[in-house]
Amino acid sequence: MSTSPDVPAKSVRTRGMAVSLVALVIASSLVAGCVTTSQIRKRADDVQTLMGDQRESMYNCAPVELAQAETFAEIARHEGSMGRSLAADKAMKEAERTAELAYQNSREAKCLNDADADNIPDRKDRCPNQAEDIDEFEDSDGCPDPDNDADGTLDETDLCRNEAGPTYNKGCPVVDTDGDGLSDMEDNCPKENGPVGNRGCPIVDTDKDGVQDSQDRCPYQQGLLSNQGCPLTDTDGDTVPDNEDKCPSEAGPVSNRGCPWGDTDGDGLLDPDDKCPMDPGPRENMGCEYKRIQITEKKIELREKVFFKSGKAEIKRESWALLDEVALAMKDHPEIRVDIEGHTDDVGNDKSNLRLSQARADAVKKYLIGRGVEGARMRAIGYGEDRPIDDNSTPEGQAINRRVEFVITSR
Amino acid sequence: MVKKGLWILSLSVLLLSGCSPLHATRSISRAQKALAAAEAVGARDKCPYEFKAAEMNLEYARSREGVSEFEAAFTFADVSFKLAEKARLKSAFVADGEKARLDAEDIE
Repeated sequence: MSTSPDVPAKSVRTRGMAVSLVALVIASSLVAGCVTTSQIRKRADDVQTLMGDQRESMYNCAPVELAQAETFAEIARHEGSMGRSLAADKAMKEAERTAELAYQNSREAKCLNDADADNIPDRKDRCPNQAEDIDEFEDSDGCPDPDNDADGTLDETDLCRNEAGPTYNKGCPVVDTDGDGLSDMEDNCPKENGPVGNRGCPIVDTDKDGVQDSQDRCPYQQGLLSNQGCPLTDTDGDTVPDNEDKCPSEAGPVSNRGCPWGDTDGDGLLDPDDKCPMDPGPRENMGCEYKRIQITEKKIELREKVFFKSGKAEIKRESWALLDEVALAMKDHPEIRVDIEGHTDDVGNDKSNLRLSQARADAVKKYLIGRGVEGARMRAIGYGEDRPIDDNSTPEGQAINRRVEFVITSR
Repeated sequence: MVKKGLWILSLSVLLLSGCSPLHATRSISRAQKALAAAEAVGARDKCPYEFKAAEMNLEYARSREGVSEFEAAFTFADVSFKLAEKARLKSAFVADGEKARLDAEDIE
């Protein structure tokens, strides 16, 4: 537009401003129209989104407002598509207002048809009277799944809810990583192959004593199975191990369970060697005190005489106890061999004395055999009057010379 | 001759399409009748959502017809008709306790 020189300056300015204003309005309208149209689409989408989750509740509790909101939104879209921004905006505002109203009027739980209150509307709920168990397994169908993997183990006790497995394995699939026949859950060594009897662990026996390390209290020392793989100790060195030794710190024979023998009667002979452990006695008599005899180095000394019937080889009853004790001593000392010597005085015939002394020695031997002494250990010898030990001229001397002696020939 | 033929063809296409005033008017009339039938069986109270939506769509269809937007008039009137029919059918079943079932089928 040009200005003619004859037009007053004020009029020209006014006309220029009017043109600028019109141009601005046109430009604003165009710009506003474009922006509003795209905004309308977005706002309509927003309304639809807002109602999306709540639509069923709105349908039940605010149906008129819902109908209004949706229809106004459609009208707004249409107006917008026709380029009528103002009409679209007006319709959109109504859509938003009524949508908000519908929302406010349908917030109560009763607006949602949900008999089992599992937040899944009955129309979508395949089990409208059974609440869904929310456990990230088919949670949208409205039906509870008490055994997700249908393995027979209920979810509440199933350690692997979504993986089928036998009940004995707590509902988990049986996995045997090391392939030893034991499932990993039962396998103490799930990554190492080992026999079932060893709970799936390989048998390791470092000290090679036959007791595997897992049961060996002394895995680096050879020992006995009975002692949990540890060697037996023998503190007193008596060959009886401490665990069997009744006296582990005192040496003693195995027969006395590792304890030393005692000497109950204090006669210097240990009880097992003492024939009379309760009564003291000389070692020669094996700890027993013989009353009628004494064993010396060369003889079994008699403290009494052996009496025979006069002129005969028949032992008198009063001497039986003496000979019984001799028999006992012979049995106590089986190593002893003796000569049984018969002696007489010099009264009478030499030959008859000799015969009598032999007969009496034989009688004593026979008696001792009768008391259990082996005959081979004894030799009966009659010496007659040849070996007197006293004076035959007196009756006392003659009595002493009539005697029986037990001479030890070997021991 | 050719010019006359083209003119007739164009007029035919216009009259047969939804853009024609004839179709729009017919569609509005059909929706109007359906709405009246729905109201007669108590759809305003029994199926308020469908009834209200049908009512509004019909009203807008009329307004579009008034400004010669026949295609929009046809479209909105058609929506109105379908909603009115739904409202009428549902209202007829309400007494039989079937509303819930129909709701479930139709609400999506």
